[in-house]
Amino acid sequence: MFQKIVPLTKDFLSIPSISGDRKEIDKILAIVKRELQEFPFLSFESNGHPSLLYANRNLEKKEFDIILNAHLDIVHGKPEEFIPKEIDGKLYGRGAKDMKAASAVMVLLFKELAKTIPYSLALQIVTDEEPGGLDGTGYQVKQGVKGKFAICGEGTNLVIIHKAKTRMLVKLTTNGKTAHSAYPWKGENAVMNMHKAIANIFQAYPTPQEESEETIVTVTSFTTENNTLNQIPDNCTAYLDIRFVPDEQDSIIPKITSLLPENIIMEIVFKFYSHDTNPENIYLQLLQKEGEKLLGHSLKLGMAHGASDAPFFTEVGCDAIEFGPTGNNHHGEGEWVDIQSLEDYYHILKNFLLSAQDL
Amino acid sequence: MTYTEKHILDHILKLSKKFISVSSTLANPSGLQEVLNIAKKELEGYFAMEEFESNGIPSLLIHNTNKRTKHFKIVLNAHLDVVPGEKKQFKPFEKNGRLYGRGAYDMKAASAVMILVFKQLAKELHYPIALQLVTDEEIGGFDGAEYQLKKGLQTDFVIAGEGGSSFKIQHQARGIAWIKIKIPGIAAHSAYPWLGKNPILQMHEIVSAIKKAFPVPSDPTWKTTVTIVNVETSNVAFNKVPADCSIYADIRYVPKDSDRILDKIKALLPEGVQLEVLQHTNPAYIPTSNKFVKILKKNTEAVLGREALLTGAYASADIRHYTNLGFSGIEFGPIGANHHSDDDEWVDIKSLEDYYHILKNFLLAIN
Repeated sequence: MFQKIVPLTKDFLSIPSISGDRKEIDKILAIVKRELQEFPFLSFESNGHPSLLYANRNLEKKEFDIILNAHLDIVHGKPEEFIPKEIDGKLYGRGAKDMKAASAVMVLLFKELAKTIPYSLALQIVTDEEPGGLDGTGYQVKQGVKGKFAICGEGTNLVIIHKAKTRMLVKLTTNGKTAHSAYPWKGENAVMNMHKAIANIFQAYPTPQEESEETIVTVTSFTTENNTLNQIPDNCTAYLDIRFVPDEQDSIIPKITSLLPENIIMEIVFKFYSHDTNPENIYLQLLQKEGEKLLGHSLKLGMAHGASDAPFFTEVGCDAIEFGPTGNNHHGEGEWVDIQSLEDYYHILKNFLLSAQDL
Repeated sequence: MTYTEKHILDHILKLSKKFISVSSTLANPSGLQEVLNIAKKELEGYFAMEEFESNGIPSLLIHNTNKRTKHFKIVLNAHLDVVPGEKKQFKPFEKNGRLYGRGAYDMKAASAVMILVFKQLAKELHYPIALQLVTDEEIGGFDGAEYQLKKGLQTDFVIAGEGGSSFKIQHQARGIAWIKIKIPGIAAHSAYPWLGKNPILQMHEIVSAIKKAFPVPSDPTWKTTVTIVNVETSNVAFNKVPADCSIYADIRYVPKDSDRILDKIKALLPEGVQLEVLQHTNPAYIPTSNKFVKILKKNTEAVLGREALLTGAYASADIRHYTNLGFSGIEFGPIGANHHSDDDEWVDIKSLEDYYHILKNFLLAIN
């Protein structure tokens, strides 16, 4: 089965399956459906984002022992990033690490094992993890899908991520007063209002220059609807991508609010539930044991900087982790996944799924 | 010609109202032609009339010579387009000595005066004079005044009856530079900002530096101003450090900053950040010793019975297209307020009559 992983990954990598691009998303889901045609599945759709749920038994009951969670959407990439390349043991392409290679492993492992393992196993294929996951994993969980343990196959360099900074997206808007820009004293420039607000944010949350375990606020967008060059803009919008550490769950919103001048309107676009799974969890410990057996060294536990779909599970009491192969440059240029680590990943997951029947 | 001086104000108001009733905005191209047709009808049969069109923008040049001259002593420049307004603003009304409506001040009433002065006098004048009627001043004047100049129009002196002057003779106007500041960044997932470089941070610092170097004046000030009109990034993902960010700024600079304004901006930019000039218009400046300016000042003072001030115009009107080519010109119009604002644009009715007499006396004095 392992020799099928790289070809399937390449098929996935060739498709620019940016979340919301329905044509490309349908194309990549068709590959999964073809691969798993012998299994029953449910199709979900929310706000135009389709997702699938496969199981090794009928799907009337939506509670499972173990859920494998894979997202097939990616962030934007240049056209050449959709031509997968193998160089020096690395497989390059947009989504190689995040998380098309791991998805291929999960799909093929499910195909290989689903009929032989006695407990209930589900495979969840979603297509909106990058924009937040509300319409994929979030939606399925709302429809009652849950498990005892879920593994999100994000590229974690074979580290077991049991907790993560929590993601929150904040939209800031402000209004000013337009006027001809030859007469700036007649207007109120909304961009300058926002500039003041952002100054406070930058002061309270300086962008770290190196890896940081602290809460991070990134201004990811700053725009105005004004499209003339001789008008003072009367509106301005900025988005703050916030990654807060689990113990700031309750204090983060008041803190951000206190930094904003009165003329700024703050809207919480979403705030996730925290991901904080106990390292004593028996599934987690089994996975760790199987990993160490195979690799011959200890398997680290860690906190993720980025959010995944895991909090959707923890919110309904389903413990979850992120665990995936080794790679780099996800969301940047030159994304790759290490092919040896894919093989390790395949064996660790396989051994884990097989020995989980004894739990 | 056909009417008496006594009734001139009635004619001015009637024609002004006709103009105001037409919503001659960019969004309504048929309104541009319609408003020109009203002017055409007023002047048809008396004068040589040349019609222009560029990129769908119509304009007229009406003059008092029989031969196809291109060089005039005087051009009266009037624009009949207006900035957008609410529906009710296109219903003119008189109240307390003021005429209200979109374009009353900028510059449909002044246009009516120019048309009627021209109609009354042009045949008696011994020099070549032209009346230029355009319909795109509010969006830059490139297909109206500038287009006619490209086609060979020349003049010794031009008066634009622009809104905003209220009988001040505006002999200088600030230059304009529309610039784009391009800031490169390095994209990364926003959970790992240390792997990237957020250009929005640098944008923030640049805006701070601009704000410090060019504080936004709270009152009209004859100073260079820099207005940030837009900030954008091509980033569409909310979980990504953007790879780029651009700032657009509208710079209005006084003539004395001509040589150094762009260097001053460049000096505020960190390395790797690029400055692109999208459009650049030189400032306009006519010395107060200009003989036409002096004659206009004298005649204005005679009619108003007070001193006529010489000032600068904060915004650039069609005059800049003339001064760019080395022709002299000024902005000079009647009294009013609230042009370019959302409501209540008006022009003072008595000032329209004064404006008529000033222009008339000026044109005769040059004879």
